[in-house]
Amino acid sequence: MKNKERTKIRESKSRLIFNIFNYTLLALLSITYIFPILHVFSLSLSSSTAAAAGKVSFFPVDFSWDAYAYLMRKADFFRSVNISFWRVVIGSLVNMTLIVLTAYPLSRSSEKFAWRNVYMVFFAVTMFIGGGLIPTYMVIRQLKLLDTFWALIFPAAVNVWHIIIMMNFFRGLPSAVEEAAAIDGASHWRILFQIYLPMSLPSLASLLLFCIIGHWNAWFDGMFYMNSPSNYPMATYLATQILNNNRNITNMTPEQLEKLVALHEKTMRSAQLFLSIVPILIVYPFLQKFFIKGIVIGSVKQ
Amino acid sequence: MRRPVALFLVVILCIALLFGCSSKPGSTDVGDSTDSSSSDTSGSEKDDSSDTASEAEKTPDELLHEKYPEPVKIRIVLGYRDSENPDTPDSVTPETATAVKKFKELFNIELEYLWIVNTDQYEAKFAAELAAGNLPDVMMLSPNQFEDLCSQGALGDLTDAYNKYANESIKKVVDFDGQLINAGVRDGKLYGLPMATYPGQVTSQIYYDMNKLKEAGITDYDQLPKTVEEFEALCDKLLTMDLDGNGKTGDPVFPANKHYYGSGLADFSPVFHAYESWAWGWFDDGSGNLVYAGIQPELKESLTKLNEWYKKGYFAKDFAALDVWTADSSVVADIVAGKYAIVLGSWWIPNWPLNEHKKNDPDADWVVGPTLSKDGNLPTILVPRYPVNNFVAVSKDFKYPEAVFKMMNWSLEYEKMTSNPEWLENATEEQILEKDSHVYLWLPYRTYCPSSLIENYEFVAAKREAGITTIDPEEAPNNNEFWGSWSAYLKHMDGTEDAISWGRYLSRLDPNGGVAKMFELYTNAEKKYDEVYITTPSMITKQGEMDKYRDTTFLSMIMGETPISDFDKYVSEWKKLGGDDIAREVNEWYKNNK
Amino acid sequence: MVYSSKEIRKKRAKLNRTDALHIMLIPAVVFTFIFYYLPLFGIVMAFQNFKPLLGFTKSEWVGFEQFRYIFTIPSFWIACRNTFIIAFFKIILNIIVPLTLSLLLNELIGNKFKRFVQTIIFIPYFFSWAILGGMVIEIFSYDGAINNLIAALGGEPIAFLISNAWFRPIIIASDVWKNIGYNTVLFLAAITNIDPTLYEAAVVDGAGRFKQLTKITLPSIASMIVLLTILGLGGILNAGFEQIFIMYNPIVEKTVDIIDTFVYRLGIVSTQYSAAAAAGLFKSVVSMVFVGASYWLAYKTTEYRVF
Repeated sequence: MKNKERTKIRESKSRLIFNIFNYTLLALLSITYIFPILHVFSLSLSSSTAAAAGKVSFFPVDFSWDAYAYLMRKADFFRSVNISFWRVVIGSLVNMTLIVLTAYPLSRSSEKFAWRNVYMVFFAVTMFIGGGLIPTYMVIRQLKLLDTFWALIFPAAVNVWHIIIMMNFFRGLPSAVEEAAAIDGASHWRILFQIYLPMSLPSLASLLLFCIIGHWNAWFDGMFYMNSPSNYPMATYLATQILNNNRNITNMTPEQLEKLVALHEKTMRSAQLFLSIVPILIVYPFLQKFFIKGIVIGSVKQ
Repeated sequence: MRRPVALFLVVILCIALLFGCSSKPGSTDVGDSTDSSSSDTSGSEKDDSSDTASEAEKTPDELLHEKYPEPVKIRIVLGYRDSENPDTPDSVTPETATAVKKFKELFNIELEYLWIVNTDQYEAKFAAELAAGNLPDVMMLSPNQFEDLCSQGALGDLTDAYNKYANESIKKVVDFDGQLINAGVRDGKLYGLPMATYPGQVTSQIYYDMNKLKEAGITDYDQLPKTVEEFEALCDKLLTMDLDGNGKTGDPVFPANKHYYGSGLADFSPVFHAYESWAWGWFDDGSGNLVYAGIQPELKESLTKLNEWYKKGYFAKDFAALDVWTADSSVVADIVAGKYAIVLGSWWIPNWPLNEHKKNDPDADWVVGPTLSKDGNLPTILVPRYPVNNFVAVSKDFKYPEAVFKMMNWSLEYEKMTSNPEWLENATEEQILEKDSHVYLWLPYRTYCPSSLIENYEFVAAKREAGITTIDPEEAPNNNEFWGSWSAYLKHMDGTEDAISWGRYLSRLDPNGGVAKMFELYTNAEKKYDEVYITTPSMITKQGEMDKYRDTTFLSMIMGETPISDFDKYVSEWKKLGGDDIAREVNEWYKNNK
Repeated sequence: MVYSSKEIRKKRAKLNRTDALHIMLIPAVVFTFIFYYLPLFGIVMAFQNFKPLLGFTKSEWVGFEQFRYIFTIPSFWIACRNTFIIAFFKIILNIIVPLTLSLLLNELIGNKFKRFVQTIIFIPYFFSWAILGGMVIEIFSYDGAINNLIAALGGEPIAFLISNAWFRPIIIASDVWKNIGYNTVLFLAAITNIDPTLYEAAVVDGAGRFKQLTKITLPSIASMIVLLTILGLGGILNAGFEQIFIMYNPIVEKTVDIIDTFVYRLGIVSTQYSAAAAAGLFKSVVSMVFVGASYWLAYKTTEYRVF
């Protein structure tokens, strides 16, 4: 008895040390997550001289709205946000429709649906091999999708990983449910839409969030399939702003060098970065609960 | 603080590049050697406004102003850059720019932008479109692209159109020295119009702030270092002094950045050149063989010297992390803040950033120092035989190659007209708006005349000698950089000089300024020529890797991470990477084309 | 309601018919065919000397020449090596760090702070590299926040962005930092699902916290760790194109250039379409082997079926 008490005391002491250590560590870690966002935010609200001089860390220095005021006049940025908005809405809708429609048949066992494995292989192959950028570009060009909104939607319409996650979820539903429905004479359509889907809300919600975020963040396709910066979605617009910094000067003439001046500024870039993450910062806390539930159910990530 | 820089650069730009020029007759006729039967492929199909009989009698100038009877569609592509003219209205886009409007109005040419992407995505987009088999009608190509497309037979023959349509103004751009145009000739036919700069511009200079150097005991121009040794002595002295007044000695004495060679500002070119060493270029070794400058043993001397200086602290320890060409570059900020009394750079640096320093420190007295060498004599310089940066070409399916010349000529005339102070005074608001809506960057060609710097310098020098400050607009050299230079000259003469016109005067007009010294060196020094203006197959595939290897090796040698004794290893590795292949190819070409 | 067995069979027959299933699959099959299968014809480029203006039909066939060519390019092998190194560390650290974090979070007494940390660390998971890349570059630049901190502590600033010693760790660390939330949530859920009576029994036996960790917590989630690692290793050739593409620069290419960026530069920047196609195909084939092996292993060790 005595022995046990001593252990307890010893433990509570080391426990205290551990707790202090643990809280400190996690607090520091949290700072590394808060700082960059705060830093970008502060940069965007500082004067450009202060930003250029590297004086800004946590809080704005020489508070100034200039970057935002300038941005307000920049039609390009807002046009790109608008494109991104519609891309998210329509793109996610298309994604979700295809996920549900495809996951259901694939969740049938191959005994009940003889073609199941054939289809599965058909989709799975796409995860291993691709034709590459240029051939895909050629196909999209041939289909006259280039420089259209649909070039951002259709090529990304089928996401095999999301389909697999949904499929695995359907498989996990109790078979009794289906049995009962079968006895009621339900068709596949009815089972999918009236029984399966209502049971899958958390999964659907988290997949939806994945789709939304995916479309909001995708930039490479916009850069490649659009013929004009005025058709860029927001993420592409931002990416090109960042990529702009890598210049190859060896091929330039003295005249070109002479006139090469950096027109975009730190504060401007920060303002754009910040505005583009605001929607995520707003939406995320609301969807977080669903999302975490969905991940745990879906269990394996992309 | 950055706005003024941007604004100022914009001014330079407008002055430096916007304007074309025309005047002195050139003389080359291209394609003389080819039999005429092969050169009339595209020309015969076009429906021109006039019948062929009368066309033959027309002068180029008449032909250049003819309007097409039917609308002619020209599809072009664009790597988008914001206009550098701050007065450009925000609403102007490439599609609504003045040129597009005027081409329709004057020539019935409808310019259509197939695609417009940011400059940085241009290569990628061009490659993807090309892979899909699509070429624009008129395009500006890098030498690599030009070679590649030419070898695939993708480009149209410009020979006929050039012979018929190129007037003197156009020739001054694409053939300023009477031989440049040959750079675009393949198999006796003209496939590309070369866009070039003055060859002497590859030389380098060292600028000294005489005001600061007084402290170091230098009161006279003649005391400035002529040899590397003297330069080193001066730097040693400066190391022991606190020029920038931060209370510390031993700060770097001149700026440097990762673009260690040929970047035009804060690079080591003058040091390389003093040892008659160059990081790139192919020159004749005297036996009819081309050799690569970037592997010559002279480089060992310059790299050793630079490594010594790195260790002594002449330039920043982290110079390889610095980049003069990024936004908010600290290198530039230090120069502007007056940290340095010595700046290495090209003829144009008084224009920027030295003028920014002058603004902060009106006492600054920058001069172009003597060209450094090992022994005090002018070093041999390496200059390009054909200083080509880009080619303007047309697709082989394009039926109106002469349209390229019509457009170019319009640009030359329009830029010439709008730059004239008289025109500006009398222009209506509408005309000014139209002028501001003209953005040359959005057109698939340039109108820069490589000889304009020299022309203006010589013109002003003559006036200065005669003490004349008046001008009859008729006698002015026909390039629009001229009027900016002229006003800098006037301001210099009547003592109303500000930092901007100071920079322009010192870079372009001062008898001891950038252009003057560049021209002097170019005229007086022994020359080796960089002969290669073609791109060989191995260059297309291997050059990128090899350049990267060379640059990282040199940087690491300067920083002492790689010993200079590894130079031979570098040379053999460079050869293995493709140097041998390229050497074989260029020499084969050289022997056949001499 | 009571049905006769015959009736049931009849009703069930409805489900035995599979035409509805085929119809459901049509849209996805069509999209997949157009946007994945049609471009596969591009693979022939790898065996040609593809000249755009000649097209697929007229370009010269060169067999395996393009493969031989890319194997002679030194930076191809550098890219392969970098791909393995970067992907390996990303995979491993993306397991170990979230695991540690979830164990630490699990030890927290209050729920509020736990939820706060959990929320905060998940945020960057939702940011694209287009945004994060810019932030990371900003923070690590020579006059950026980190160097300000170093200077304030009296150190010499470090040129992170052009340092071959630093840039790769930055790439890996920023990836782990970005993705930490996902696996942490996963592990945390698994830990909370462990039967509490196991711990009670352990306490009665006098097992300390550490013992509980090694004897109960870790073994309970071991299969999950193994599974995630195996599946992760299948993607060893995917080291994160978007991240590196947006963050790298020529000076650090030596240490962070990966196969995907290499292929991009080869195909797009220097228009060697065929060579790029060959390099891409090479990567596809090798990674197919890895992914296949990892799925098989996953099935063997944990009976987890991906498909």
